[in-house]
Amino acid sequence: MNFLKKSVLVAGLAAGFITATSSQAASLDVDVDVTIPDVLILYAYTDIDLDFAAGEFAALLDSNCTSEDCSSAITAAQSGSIASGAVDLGISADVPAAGTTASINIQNSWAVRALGYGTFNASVADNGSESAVSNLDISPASGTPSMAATTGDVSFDVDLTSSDLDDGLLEANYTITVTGS
Amino acid sequence: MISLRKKPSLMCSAFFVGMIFIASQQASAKIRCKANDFSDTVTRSEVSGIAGGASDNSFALNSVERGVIVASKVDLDIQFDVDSVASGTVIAESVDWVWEMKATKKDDLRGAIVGDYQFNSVNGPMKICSSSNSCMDVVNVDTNVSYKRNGQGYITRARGYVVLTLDLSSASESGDYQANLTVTLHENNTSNPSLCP
Repeated sequence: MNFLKKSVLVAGLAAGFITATSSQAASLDVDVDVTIPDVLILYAYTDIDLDFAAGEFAALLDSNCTSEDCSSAITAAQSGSIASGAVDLGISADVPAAGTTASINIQNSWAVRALGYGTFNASVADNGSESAVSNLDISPASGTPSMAATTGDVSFDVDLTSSDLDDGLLEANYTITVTGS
Repeated sequence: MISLRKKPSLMCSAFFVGMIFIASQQASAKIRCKANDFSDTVTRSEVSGIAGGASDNSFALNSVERGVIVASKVDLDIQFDVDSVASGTVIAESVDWVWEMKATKKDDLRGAIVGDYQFNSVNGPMKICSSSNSCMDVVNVDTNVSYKRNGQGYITRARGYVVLTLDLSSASESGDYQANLTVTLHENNTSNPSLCP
């Protein structure tokens, strides 16, 4: 009996010892080094087809118009004298002044992502637009780039009196340049 | 009578010695673990998602983009297309093993060795930073483990190769990014006891 008790005790001690050795918490230490290069990436659409919303273009010409085919009543009373069966009311003097210039802003049409640059500078240059297009501009012209994309706009003016518009199509071609420093 | 009472005591002592021997044998079957530093250079192509190694690149979104001008403005929402071509994440892969564990049959390891990875940087856990201003987030850690087993299937050596998925969207600086990585190895499941002494 005494022998059995001692055996159980010793077996218990041994088992406890084994368990103790296998339940230690431990870990390995690793130094992690990752090298990242300088990167500057410009994203831009190369083919953009735009239409004016219904009534949008006519409104540029006459603020009273809300559709492409509109009538604009000139309500001032007209008077005249008929001579030789004709009378000239001279409506041209009463026609509201037509808009001659429209500004188009193409928002969020380019983007830049960069690593290793504190600042970027953006510019836009004409690259063969029709003559009705002028005053190309880019926004933002500078900024702080990061890997999260910074998006930007390109805007230009359109001469509404230009014969370039006669065929119903206006082409603007431009080059965007972004540099990092 | 006296001699009769001493006999069990002698037998017990022999048993005790035997148990100590067994216990010390278990204790000597120590698992050995080592670590290697993790080092990788991410290429410009990986960062930009553009083939080629030039530092400055333009990325043409060639599909025709259509829009309608309203109030002299049109929003082309290029962010959506940028996100679709560039996820903002890179994969960093260790060339050599990052951890190695050696065991014997006595360690009774026949399953899979799994690692628990804890990154610590100047800006806190699970980040790798070049400074407090620029960090990459560790979004995933994959481990490829190569095993050497004896004829009975017991693991005699395991080596872990680590593949990190890093999110660069919070990074702004180039150069060296650093973190301390603490690896804890377990059999089959990270909830099991740590294997390394």
